Amino acid sequence: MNCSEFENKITAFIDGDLVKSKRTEFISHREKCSACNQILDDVKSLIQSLAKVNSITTSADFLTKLHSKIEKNKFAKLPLFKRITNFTPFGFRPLYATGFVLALMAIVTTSFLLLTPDTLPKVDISKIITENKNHIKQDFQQPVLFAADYDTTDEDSIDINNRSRFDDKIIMVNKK
Amino acid sequence: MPNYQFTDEELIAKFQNGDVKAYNQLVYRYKDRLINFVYRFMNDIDKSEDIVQDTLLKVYTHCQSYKEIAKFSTWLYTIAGNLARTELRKIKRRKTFTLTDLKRDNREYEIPHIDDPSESYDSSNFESDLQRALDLLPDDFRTMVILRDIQELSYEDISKIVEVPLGTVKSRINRGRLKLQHLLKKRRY
Repeated sequence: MNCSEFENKITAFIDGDLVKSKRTEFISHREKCSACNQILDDVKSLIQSLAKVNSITTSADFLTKLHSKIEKNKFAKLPLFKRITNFTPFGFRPLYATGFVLALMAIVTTSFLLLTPDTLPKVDISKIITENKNHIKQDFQQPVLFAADYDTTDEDSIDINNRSRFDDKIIMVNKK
Repeated sequence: MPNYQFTDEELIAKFQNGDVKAYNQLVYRYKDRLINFVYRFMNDIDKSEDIVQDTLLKVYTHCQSYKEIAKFSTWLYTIAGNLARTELRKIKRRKTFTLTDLKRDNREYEIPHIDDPSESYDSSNFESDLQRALDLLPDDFRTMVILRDIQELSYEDISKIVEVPLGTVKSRINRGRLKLQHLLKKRRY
């Protein structure tokens, strides 16, 4: 057995898996080769050290975190409607609260209307229609204008063709 | 090995039938064992806890996919190992990206070399040295050494978890131990 073969057989030797002839060869090489003997000792001590390494533990809030992950996962898998109904910010369910408030408002309004029917004003619809028709007629009647209704002569304007009338006015002003 | 009233397989069967207490018992049994397994990959306690929680969450959500053809622990370690490897790949990708950026922008930046032979070895540093040495081991060797020597699982279970033949498991564990021993020796002297 050479050094390379020896190295390949170390684990089998430690586990006791070598057949008798190979085991004898292995031990014989170990006695002759100090380097291989050292490697075998090192591997044995490594295995012992690794077995003692198991020292890490999970943190104190590990289980809390795990359960919150599980809850989140459950919630994410729900259909949209269920997610809305199960949504509870600060421990409240807003959908149920809203429904409750709406129902309460409906009950209060209906009760108010049913208990005080006289307060409602009586409405004569035919009267309103007639009044509206008259208003419409008045609003849309176009004013008809005739020239005869207006005096087109302007007293202050100067009538050039009738100059004597203008002169009379000047005379009157001078005599006061 | 503690003497439990129910085996893992009985507990998962109970949980599959709706017994949440059985699930909680499994969590108590495995949470510390799993974190020791995952931590050896991640070298980060917070990330390891997240992975263990995700593993146990998967057990909760996918309990029906467990069939009693394999041991429960094998199934559990397979899930944890896969999640750890996925997370490691993500971290490595992120690191590669950051280092590429550093190369481009800050050429004077040097990554510290962790294998400094001049550094004196203290036996109390074994844990941290072991962790560094494990980080340097190839992924296949590391998984098998952790499962065999830290988690103390049987070769048969390891073979099922990593899905490689028993002979390959044994030879990889042997080579993994030799490499790990070599790396630790380099740090000591």
